Amino acid sequence: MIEFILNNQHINTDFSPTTVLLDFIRKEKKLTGTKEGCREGDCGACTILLGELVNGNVFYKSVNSCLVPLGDAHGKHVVTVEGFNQNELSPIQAGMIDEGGTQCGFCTPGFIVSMTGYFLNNETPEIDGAIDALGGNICRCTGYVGIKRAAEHSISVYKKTDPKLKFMNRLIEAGFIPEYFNSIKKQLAAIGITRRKDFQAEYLIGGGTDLYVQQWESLVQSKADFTSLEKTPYEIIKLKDKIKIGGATTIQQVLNSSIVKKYYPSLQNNLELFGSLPIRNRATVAGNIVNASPIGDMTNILLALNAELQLKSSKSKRTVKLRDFYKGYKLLNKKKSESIDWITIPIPSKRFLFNFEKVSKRTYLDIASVNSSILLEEKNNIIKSIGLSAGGVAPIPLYLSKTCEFLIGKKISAATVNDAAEIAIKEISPISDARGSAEYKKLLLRQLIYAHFIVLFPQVIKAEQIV
Amino acid sequence: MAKKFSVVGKPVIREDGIDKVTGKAKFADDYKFNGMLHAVMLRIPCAHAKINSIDFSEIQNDESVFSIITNKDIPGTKKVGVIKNDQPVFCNEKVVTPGDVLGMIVGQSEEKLRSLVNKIKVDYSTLPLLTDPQKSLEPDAILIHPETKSNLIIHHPLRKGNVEKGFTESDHILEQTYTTQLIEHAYIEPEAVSAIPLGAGGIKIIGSIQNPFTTRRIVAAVVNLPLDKVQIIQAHLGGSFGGKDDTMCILAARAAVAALKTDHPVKIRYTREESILESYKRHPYILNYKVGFAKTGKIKAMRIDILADGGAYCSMSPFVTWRSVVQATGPYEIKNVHTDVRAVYTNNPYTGAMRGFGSPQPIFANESLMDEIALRLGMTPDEVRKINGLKEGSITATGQRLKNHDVNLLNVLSTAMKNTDFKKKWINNKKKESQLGELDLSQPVLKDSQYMNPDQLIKKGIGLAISYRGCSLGAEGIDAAAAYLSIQNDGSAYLLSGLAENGQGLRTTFSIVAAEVLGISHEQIFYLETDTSRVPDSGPTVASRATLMGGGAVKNAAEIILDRLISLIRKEWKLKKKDEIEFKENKIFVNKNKISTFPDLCKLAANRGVNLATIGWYKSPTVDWNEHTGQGDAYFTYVYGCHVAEVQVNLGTGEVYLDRITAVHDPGTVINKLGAEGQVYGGVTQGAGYGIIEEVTTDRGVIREQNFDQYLILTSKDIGEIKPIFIQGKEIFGPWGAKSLGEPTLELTAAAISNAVCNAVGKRFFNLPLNLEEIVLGKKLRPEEIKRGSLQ
Repeated sequence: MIEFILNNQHINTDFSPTTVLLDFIRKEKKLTGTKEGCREGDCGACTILLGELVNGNVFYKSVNSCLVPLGDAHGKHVVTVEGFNQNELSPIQAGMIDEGGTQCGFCTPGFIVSMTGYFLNNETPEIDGAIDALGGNICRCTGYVGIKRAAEHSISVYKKTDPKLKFMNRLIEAGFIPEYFNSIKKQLAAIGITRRKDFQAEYLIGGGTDLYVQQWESLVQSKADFTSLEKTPYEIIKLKDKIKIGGATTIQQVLNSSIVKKYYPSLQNNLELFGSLPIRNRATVAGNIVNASPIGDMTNILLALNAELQLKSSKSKRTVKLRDFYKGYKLLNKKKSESIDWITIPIPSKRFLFNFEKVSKRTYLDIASVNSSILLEEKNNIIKSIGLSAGGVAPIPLYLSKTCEFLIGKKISAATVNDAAEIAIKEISPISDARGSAEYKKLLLRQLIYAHFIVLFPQVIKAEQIV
Repeated sequence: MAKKFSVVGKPVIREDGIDKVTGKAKFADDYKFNGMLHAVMLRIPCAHAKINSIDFSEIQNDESVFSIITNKDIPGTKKVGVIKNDQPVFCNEKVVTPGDVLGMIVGQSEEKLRSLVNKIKVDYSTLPLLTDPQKSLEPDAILIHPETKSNLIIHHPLRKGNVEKGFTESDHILEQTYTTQLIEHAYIEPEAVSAIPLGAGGIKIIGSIQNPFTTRRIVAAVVNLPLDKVQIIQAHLGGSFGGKDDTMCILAARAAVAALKTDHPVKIRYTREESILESYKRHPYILNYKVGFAKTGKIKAMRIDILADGGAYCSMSPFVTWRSVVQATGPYEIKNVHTDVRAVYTNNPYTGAMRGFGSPQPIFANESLMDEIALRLGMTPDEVRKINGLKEGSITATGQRLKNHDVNLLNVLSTAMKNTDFKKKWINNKKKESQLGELDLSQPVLKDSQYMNPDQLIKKGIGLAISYRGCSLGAEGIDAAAAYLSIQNDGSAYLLSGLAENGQGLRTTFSIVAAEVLGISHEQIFYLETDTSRVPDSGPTVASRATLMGGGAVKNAAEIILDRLISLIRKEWKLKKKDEIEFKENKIFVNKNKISTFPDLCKLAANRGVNLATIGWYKSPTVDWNEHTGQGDAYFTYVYGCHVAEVQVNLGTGEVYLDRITAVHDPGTVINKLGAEGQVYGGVTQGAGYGIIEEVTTDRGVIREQNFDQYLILTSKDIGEIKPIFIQGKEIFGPWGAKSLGEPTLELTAAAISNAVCNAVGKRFFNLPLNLEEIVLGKKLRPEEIKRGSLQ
């Protein structure tokens, strides 16, 4: 049995856990406010909130319900646009009408859910953050202007509420959410997260953000289980000399992690270019690694950071460097029975510098044409150690080992960077595809390597000297 | 003196807003009916093939399959089209494009049917492909539709003056080629439709339908029923932009055939992939321009040759390209013009109506050209436009003298420039561009030696484009619209137009018009569901004609009722001729004294047996057109617009950032300010996407970008400020002089952006979209044979 709360309704269902949540909501529960626009997480018309009980509080995440397996709703609060309806319109709903945020109206429920999700996650809302939270919703009618104004309107309504009230009560008082949200905590605690004992999983699904795009039809028939119900950890821990990231940790958790922020402050901005908020809320670090997309952003970053993977199966445990994990296109140094338990990255010394560059046709919510990460330690202008990766230029997420070898011990100068870029170009084997021609990708990687050094050493590298 | 309005021109919120924000608004796929079956399409992954046989044996006994539908099940017309009947409802002999459908399987579970459809064995022989429109008219070209004897869909010539003479009188001659790309409408709602058999042999259709009356005509022909037996109801429409016309007609017809055969309600719902695969697109154009001009900047002659890829079916190509031939010179008075616009068949996805309708392509070309003339002569972009731009009494390329309205072209231009400090910025950016040194136009933007100077990496640019646009259908066809208005005894009212709500807010606009005439609140008006059985055929909701034509009809209906109420008042209150009656704020005043409320007056009218229901009608003034010379009064009136784009370009990566678009339009009188601004925001954003990222590419006729992971439209984070400004010119037609806005807002943006990018980097681009590779390398991932613009 899968048990969860759908808006204000307790659900017990014996539907297959691999059923797409969107289908369950629309077809079974006839909540047709949630729309199907693309079925691959690229339009946001099916956005819902998933509320999860963590340490006694319910935390809400916006997700694309077309990519969520029903089984993963177990023990959670699923909120659709109908779940916000009260006698009066919520400030967000009213704002969307009054400010011209809705025209044809098809994308509107998704925007309202995403925006409400933003307010549920931010006690001090501001407009830029609210717009970021809408990055996974596309609209073809309004040009987003009315929607942005609706967000501004909602922020001003929220700011008028009594700050002495508890956060949830402020939102309830201002009408953002109905009163029943206060009772969800108790209801979820009563359900608990119990593993289904009757079920023998054939394989494990992380966030499913790519898997459900590629092959949902076959997944629905399969016996899959979910990392969130498994024992795969989803937390970020700091040890003495390394950071451990649980395999089921989402990209958004990494983005928000104070540990990661302390040692890699720029990563937060970098990861905002990863998919959209609803995708980052689901996509897991292990999933991104196992998916082995040559252009995955997280994998690209972890390659530069020299991550190690702890693989486990029922029988064994072992450690493998991420740089040795990819054997060919979608070929992994991993047995079928193994799953990634932890990803560890060394804590860098104070002299380490990090940079990530990504270029895509559309700046946001797009897959990179080429991406690249660099982690570098220097002393007296000499490169002591380096990690440099490149995505989208080979059949695998690529670690530029030859370029790195060359750079070790070299003086940081324009000439070094020029030479390094030339080596990198020889090390890659891009193909022409939807993201760009081989020729363009070569040019772009060279450009991104230049960019790394100019960003990291603005004083040392005089750009005019390059080439 | 200008009339003082109560509701018109104010920001009014949508009447359907509450349903849309609460998730209650029912879109086509949200309908479910008792005993409903689904239909799933059978296609082959091939752009051109002869079908030898279809073997259903593996699935026909499967319990999930209730019925199999093919060409044989069609009781009436087997080929349909909005202009020409060349598109089979089900292909039985051959397919000419990969979206083509061979048949359908019908049953209860859509998912099961989708897994079964792959088991149907189609035996087919592939035929040679024609994907390059430039080869369509070669003598040995294969024929897409052999019965037509030629791949030419339409040829529109336009001849004015003597271009050769004009060229000899010119000081400069400039010749350039431009190309534009295939574009997907990208409405967020994929197509869906249900057909429900009615007892008396009729059929009811509910779907995501843009033009219910066109759909009715086609469904009736296919199922061989009289029009009155086919009832079309429009569900809430999740975006259309011209795109839910032909495709929806054919889907409705397929659902109707299946519903009548099975005697069950039948629903068809498309996945995004099917939607992109089968629906028609915006035409890619290849545009050759030759212009002769004097040292003074005066254009002496223009020769234009345009080739439009119509794809596999005719669709709206003849009308789309007709608008192009009228407007191809841009809004300039040119003595000698020689234009040829042709649309041809290929095996590519077919192309038809899309917001803009044959204008964004030539505007990209002629507005690029105007900037180039300015650069050649050392002028600023506005100078050359002012010299040649249309003014009151000017003669257009079609020989039409502009009159009866404010010709506000130069007014919108100067307003836009003033608001953006255009000239200063343009000159400054141009100075900085020269730091790059002499650019070789045939080379990538940067030479190796120019890479990575951070001071030069990000360049600012500003650019503008102006246009004029003929309102409504023009010489395309009969142009008239109806509206039904029925006032109830309590002063509330039912309103329904024969034009359809496409999401743009037409219901609200029409309610405002009726409310303004009757002096009541638009909230007293209940807008009825769009249903072909309740209101006369009003033509399609296209050509930015709804406010003008439909609004005219609503105003007419309201005025008919107003007249009846005024007669009643004069009689009841025994008024004299000079007594002035005013309807205001839901009350009636005689010589400024209140005599009744509107509801009381309606009650009185009911008691006196006055008919308070009527059909209003609005017919456009006549236009005329000579199809051999391309001369005539093409449209009865025009609107004018100017966009200014401010961008930043990353020379190293090719990224274009859109900082601000200022959009100045003269749409005539603005009826609903909120709705009008919404049109500008949406149109500009679509136009900007057209300019920098949107593109459908094909490989052997098959579309590569079949979902939103690859067909990219702008997100909320990809576009900066959009600033709408309205100049409300006087106009004698339409409700209080309200004209068109929906399409003008889109057609200019890409051209303005391209001019801005050129201002930033000093290099001109001839091919849309200006995506990463176009900027950096001047290249695109495209089939080799597709022609690119100048410098190639």
